[in-house]
Amino acid sequence: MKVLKLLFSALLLSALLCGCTRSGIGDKVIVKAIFLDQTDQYTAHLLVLEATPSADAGSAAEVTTFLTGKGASLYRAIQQAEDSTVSDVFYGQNELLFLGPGLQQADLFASCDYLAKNAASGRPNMAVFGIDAAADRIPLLEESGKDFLDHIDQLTAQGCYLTYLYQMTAPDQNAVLPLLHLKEEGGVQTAGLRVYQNGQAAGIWTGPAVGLAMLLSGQDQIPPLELQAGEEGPVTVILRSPRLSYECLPEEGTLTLHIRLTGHVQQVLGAGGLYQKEERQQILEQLNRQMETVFAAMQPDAFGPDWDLFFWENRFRNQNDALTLQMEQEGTLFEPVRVRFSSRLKSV
Amino acid sequence: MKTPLHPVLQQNIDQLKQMFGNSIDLYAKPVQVLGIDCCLCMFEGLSTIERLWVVLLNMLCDSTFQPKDGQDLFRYIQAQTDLPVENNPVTDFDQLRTQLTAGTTVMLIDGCRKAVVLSTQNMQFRSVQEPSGEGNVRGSHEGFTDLLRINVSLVRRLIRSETLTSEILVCGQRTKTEVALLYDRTLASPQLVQAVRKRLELVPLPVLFDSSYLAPFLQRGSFSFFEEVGYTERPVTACAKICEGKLVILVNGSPYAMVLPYFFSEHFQSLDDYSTKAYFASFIRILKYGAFFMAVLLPGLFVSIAEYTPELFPPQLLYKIAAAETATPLPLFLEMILVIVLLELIREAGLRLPKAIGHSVSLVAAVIVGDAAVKAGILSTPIVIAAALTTISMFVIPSLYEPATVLRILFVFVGGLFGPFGILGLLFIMLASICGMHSFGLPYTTPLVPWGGGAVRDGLLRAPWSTLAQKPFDVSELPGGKIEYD
Amino acid sequence: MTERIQIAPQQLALLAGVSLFTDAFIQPFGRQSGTASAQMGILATACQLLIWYGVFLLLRRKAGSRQNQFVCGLLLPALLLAAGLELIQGERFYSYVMDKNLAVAAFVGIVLVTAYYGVHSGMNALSRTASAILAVSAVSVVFLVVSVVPQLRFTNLQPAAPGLADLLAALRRQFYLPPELFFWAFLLENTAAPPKKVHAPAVFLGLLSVSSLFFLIGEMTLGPAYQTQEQPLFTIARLGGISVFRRLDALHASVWLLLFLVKITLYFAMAVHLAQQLCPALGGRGPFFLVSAGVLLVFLSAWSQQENTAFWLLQAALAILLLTILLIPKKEPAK
Repeated sequence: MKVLKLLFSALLLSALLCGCTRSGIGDKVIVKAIFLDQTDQYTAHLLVLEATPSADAGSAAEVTTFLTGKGASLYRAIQQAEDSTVSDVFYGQNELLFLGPGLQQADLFASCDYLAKNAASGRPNMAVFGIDAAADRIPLLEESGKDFLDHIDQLTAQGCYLTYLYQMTAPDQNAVLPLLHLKEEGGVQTAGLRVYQNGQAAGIWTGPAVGLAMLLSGQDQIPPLELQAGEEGPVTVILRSPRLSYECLPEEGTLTLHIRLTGHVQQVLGAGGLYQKEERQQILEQLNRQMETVFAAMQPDAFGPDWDLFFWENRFRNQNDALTLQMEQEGTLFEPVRVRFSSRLKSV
Repeated sequence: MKTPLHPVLQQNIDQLKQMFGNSIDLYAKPVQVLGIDCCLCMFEGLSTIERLWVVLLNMLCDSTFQPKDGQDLFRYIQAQTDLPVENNPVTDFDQLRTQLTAGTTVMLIDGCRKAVVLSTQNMQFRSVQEPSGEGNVRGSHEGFTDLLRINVSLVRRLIRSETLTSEILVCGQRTKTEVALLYDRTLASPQLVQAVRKRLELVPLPVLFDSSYLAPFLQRGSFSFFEEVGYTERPVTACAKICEGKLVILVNGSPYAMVLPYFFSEHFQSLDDYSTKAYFASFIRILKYGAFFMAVLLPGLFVSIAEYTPELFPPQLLYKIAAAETATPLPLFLEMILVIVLLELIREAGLRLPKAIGHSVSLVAAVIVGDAAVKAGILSTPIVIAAALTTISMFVIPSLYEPATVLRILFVFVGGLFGPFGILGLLFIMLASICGMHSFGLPYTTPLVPWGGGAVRDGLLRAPWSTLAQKPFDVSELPGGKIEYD
Repeated sequence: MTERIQIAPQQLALLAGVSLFTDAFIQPFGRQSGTASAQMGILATACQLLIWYGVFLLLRRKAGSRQNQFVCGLLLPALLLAAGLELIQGERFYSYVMDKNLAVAAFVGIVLVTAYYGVHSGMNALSRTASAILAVSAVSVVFLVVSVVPQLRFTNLQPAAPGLADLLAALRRQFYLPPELFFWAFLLENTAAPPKKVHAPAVFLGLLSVSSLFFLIGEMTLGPAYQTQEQPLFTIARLGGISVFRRLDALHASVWLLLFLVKITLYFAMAVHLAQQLCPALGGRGPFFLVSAGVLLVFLSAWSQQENTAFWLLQAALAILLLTILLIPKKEPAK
């Protein structure tokens, strides 16, 4: 009992002396997105949410604002942005990282590595996007910051390629960066995928390659595909339950990875409107061939001696590790014929 | 040393009056019964004069017996009449005091060292009613009263087996309160019974008005937030505990029966559990466990999360809490303490006030605390909601209200001052405290920890009656410890 | 250890198991140089546990009357070192996982208060507390797995051909002798009738299962990035979310810190028990204060400075203790 009294007195004393001085949640601004770019120096914009004070939480409103900082290093730029407000900057719920055009061309992986290791700046599950807006355009979003965030939410809900920060910190520096186009009115739309090999930008995938890349990376919700239906012109194809199946088979002393796309064509929308079932059947073969063509164009960027964006080598090694190593040494592993793609979409 | 009765009537009367300080309610009427000088003694209000006179007059009219002396009269009344006399006559002033305060009439007889005890009790007491707490939908709605003998009879009425044993002891040096110890002698451990009886006999209480006074002397070990004994107002519950091999202690003047040994999981059991379907009873039990931990941990966790780890809040909630905290003058954890203390004041006021104005208190509290304080920016809605949720959760397990209230405040303190690690430290201490307790030799957390079959049978969940009936629960079969008493 | 701690073998096994489990949740900082791939990690862990089991069996066989003052005198400083290092690990982990840090003095103070309470509650209370905390940890693991299920990819598993040299290297990196093996064996043999069933295989199998699960979900989620993580399980916890709760890592870390509290309290309990044996003149709370002083000394000396040295000292002490027990001849009972 004596010990308890002592404990309680100590607690009470601590409460009276030091409990009131710590800054609380009300002194924080909540970071919702980080924009980084590099031109002659690093620029950091932090899109933060400030809540208008209200004891009745139900009538609280949120106001978005930008904190901007520039510096010779990423650290200094972020530091300056943080110092531009008296409140504490809270990164705990930040899930978005946007990299400007300058950073996309240089220092991308070093920056991502820094952010991943710096626990204060966010979480390794930040979704990373490349954005085509230069650093000076970003603060113009201040008034429509909430709308911008809503657009991003909608985009991810509808299905877009997602790359997370921890994926950008892999030692091999191979990655796929989803690109966004910032519209004049503040909206966003996807603008393809930039492929990085050994830390260098190697190409951009657009159109149906984006959907295929999403399937290859294991995401199962893909946006509508823009394909060509021959004479019919461009069509928009919505797939239902698209799935990739993988089979690594030994063939004549080597291994071949067969990737098969299956699923159902649920809707096809062309210039003349929605295609009926018979019309969909007629163009099905063309759609399948086109998907195979798209894959063939992607393959060299996806699978090479020093890059393996979709971990196909693991599939070879799981089948026969020794043979895979032998093929790698002989240089035959990365031949285009080693990975065969076939599309077997059906109509609903 | 007990003072025996004198053979001289007047000496007995004088000593009796002196013993009770010439109290105004002591009725001592000298009479002649069949020619022998006697004195009828009783306390007004405890015994009825009308009944006494009818009983005695009847005998006087019909009897033709002529006693030679007082002892002859005593023998005649004690053994040869159909008067409602007690089996054991009074032979000393200690017994005289006991019988008189029990509401009987004692007839002192001149020339006899023994006195006859007539059962003429007619004391006013609260009737058997539904108790205010321990509400249930099905099952008996009777509750214990304040009178020990009535309470014992309520138990006897429900357990009609010959193995139900009741012992009477006297505790309280000033109040000499009767205490009944009830148990099933084929189920209760004899060592436990003996140990409890011994402790009851040695209880150094000056006064005893409720069964809870005995608890500190029956429990052992150092301070703990939780008690090793339980209480019930319902005879049905007491009987169920007796049938599990437990002991029930009833105290004269208290409607609360004490049950021992008592385990942590029993706080989450109720009468309705056994009347409803097993799946629903299990669901309610799990809800109660959740409610307890929510009641204890929620305020402290809320404060700790808000101050130290706000990322745990959903994004939509985070800015609302931030807005609320910015608008109010106090830090979150002091605000939480304030609201908890306010709620406790309201609860205490509601308990102590007359029922007529108790409702007004609730209304005033709801309006002032819930609405005006928020509008004035003194308190914030998230804190009020968290505190209210906590209080409502606590009402689900009223028997744990006291430890939960204090622990709740402690958790707020440590959560506000030290953050998550403070909460963890106190949680560890609380768990160690509960797990380290023994209720008369058995681990207090039985059958949950160590996990035994009883946890699914009738602990965390409740098995159907078809399973429960196959092997009735017996406290001596619980795992986890060797039964040791003293 | 002449005086006996009364605790059932099952409860003792649970206590030792929970203490050993802690290192699966909270990876010791700096002690290991890089995380092996999942396949290698699982194999190395299996080898490590096999060695531990062998050591445990040896200790059981050779303990008993070898528990003399010399052995106790060696085990006590080892335990103080272990407790001090564990305190450092706990503090470092807390600083690592929490954005808002707690003052070191406050952290150490809370640990000492909880250890004090745990020690004086007794081993039985501690084992019951440990089982409750283990149940909560199991729930945490279930939630963790559920939260990262959308990000699990079988293709992320690195198919490494397990060569013996690689396996030995991985084992050498991660192997260490835990003091739990010693006092587990001693406490078992210190009863009037040493029990036959001690549940050790169940404990080690459980450890292997849990470690394997963590290796697998770690690599399946993080892929090649897994091997660069200092606290891979915590990184995975930071990734996952359930419904509107996007960040549950602080919750998971808090549950794991409960395991840390159990472990350090166990170390304190054993150290206090040994101190009582070695210094019977110390009564009341004296042994606890003595142990606390020793642990604080280790903490202050080693924190951020000589942690590696302290760790190797601990390993050396335990190795010497093991050799001592194996080599000292068994005392013949007096005729």
